[in-house]
Amino acid sequence: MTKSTRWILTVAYDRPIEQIVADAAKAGLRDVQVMAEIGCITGTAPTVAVARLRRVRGVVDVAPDSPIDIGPPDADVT
Amino acid sequence: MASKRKKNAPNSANDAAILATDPDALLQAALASGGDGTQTGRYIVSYREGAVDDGLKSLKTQGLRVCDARDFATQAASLQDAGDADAMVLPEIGVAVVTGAAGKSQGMGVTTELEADSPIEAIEPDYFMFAYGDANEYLRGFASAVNAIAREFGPGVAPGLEEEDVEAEVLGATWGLVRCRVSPSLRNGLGIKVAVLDTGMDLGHPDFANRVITSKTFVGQPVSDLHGHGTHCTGTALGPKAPPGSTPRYGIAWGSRIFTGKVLTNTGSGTMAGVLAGMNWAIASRCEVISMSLGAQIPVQVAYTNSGAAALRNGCLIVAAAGNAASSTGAPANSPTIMSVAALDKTLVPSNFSNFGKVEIAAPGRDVFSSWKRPARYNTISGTSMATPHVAGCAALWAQTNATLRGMNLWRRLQATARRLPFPASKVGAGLVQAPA
Repeated sequence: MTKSTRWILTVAYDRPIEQIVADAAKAGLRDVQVMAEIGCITGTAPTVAVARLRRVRGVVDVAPDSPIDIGPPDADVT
Repeated sequence: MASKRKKNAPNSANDAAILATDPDALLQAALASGGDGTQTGRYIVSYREGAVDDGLKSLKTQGLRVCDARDFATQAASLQDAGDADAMVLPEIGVAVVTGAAGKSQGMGVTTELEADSPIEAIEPDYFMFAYGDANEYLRGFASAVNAIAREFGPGVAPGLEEEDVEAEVLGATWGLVRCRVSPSLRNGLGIKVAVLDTGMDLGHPDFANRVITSKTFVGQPVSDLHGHGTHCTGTALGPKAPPGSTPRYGIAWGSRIFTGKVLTNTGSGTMAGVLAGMNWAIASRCEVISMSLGAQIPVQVAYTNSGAAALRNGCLIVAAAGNAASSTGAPANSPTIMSVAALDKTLVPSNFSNFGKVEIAAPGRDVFSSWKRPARYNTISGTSMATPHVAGCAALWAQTNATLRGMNLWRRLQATARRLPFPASKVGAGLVQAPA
């Protein structure tokens, strides 16, 4: 069972984002969220799909989603 | 307009100063006239690309005597060479420096309405510039001389008592607001939209009863802040002018519209994807200021940098916390397109937890009093998370002063007007953020 991770795709502005999304879906990206204003697409895909995603025309960078934690309410410093 | 001008007259207001007047004399005069010593009194006119010669023609047509840097070999012209000309044009960078007197006679002002076909892109006041980084003995001596002059000409203050201590008692505001000179500011951020991307907001908090709050969640939980952090940061940036009872004022831009983006859950966690979604929304909403008191100790992320660039292109400024690991700045603050904020203690020393390296500016981050989720309603906590909304609030006030102060222009203005501190830029950036007059 291939593990599915959420990926952050940064895209260039010289290709309509819908086309990039379509190609990324073909390359295996699911649960896609499109953020046109900032040129980002996020979605889940197995790690083996990343190489294909990187080759999609218009994709500038593919990075794994990463966690952020500011700590609980009673943290010393936040 | 044949007025007699005294050459190098440090005792008169700087309107009478000529371009050749040296900076030290200008600074003395600025302080002597009761100002805060940040503006020289001159104007910096920026021309649109390719329009500098039109601008030059326009100045001459209006009867100003203009000195052109092109008249000097390799354009090696200094203001001292301009003598008593009314303006000096620097064609390579499309800028003209205009004396206070000449500028005022042309009706120049920072709020001047510029016509669409004007060769002028912007008119800004000229500010004093000081070296920062490690101060040598000369600079320390100069700085103490300037302080001595300021004290002599400022309002009478009991010796041994810092002016700011008096203000804190009299004005009933948090130490952070006093240090950022928020209380004397005439601005409240009216007309400016400020987004706070955090754990949400306690929408029913009594201190925000008559505020317009536009909110959206990106974490699958309702916007209502059950953590407290988001409410605290929103309070510092946007809290009310007069909280109830004897509660000190803790918020800066009380006239701005609040945009709450919940990108962190009620336990304070989130992911980059959720944060990016919040950034996308804030930029699409054209929030002039976007405050992000969050991050992770990871290298620069392309997606954050891209978002920062999108923000600046759309007239939005993102300010983010440098981080609290006493290490190098984390993401998103480490992106070159995002303004990184370090934390200061009450003594204006960098807080021991504050990250360093890529830091653009600093603000109060120790024992900061602000709003909290009910029933507590208020809380005092520390972090670069607290410093960041101080910058966001001040940015909103600055944005209100001039419609050209957006994106990168606003970034530069905040740095140019910051209070210089005797610490390296890697710790405090340009210094302590200051509100506009």
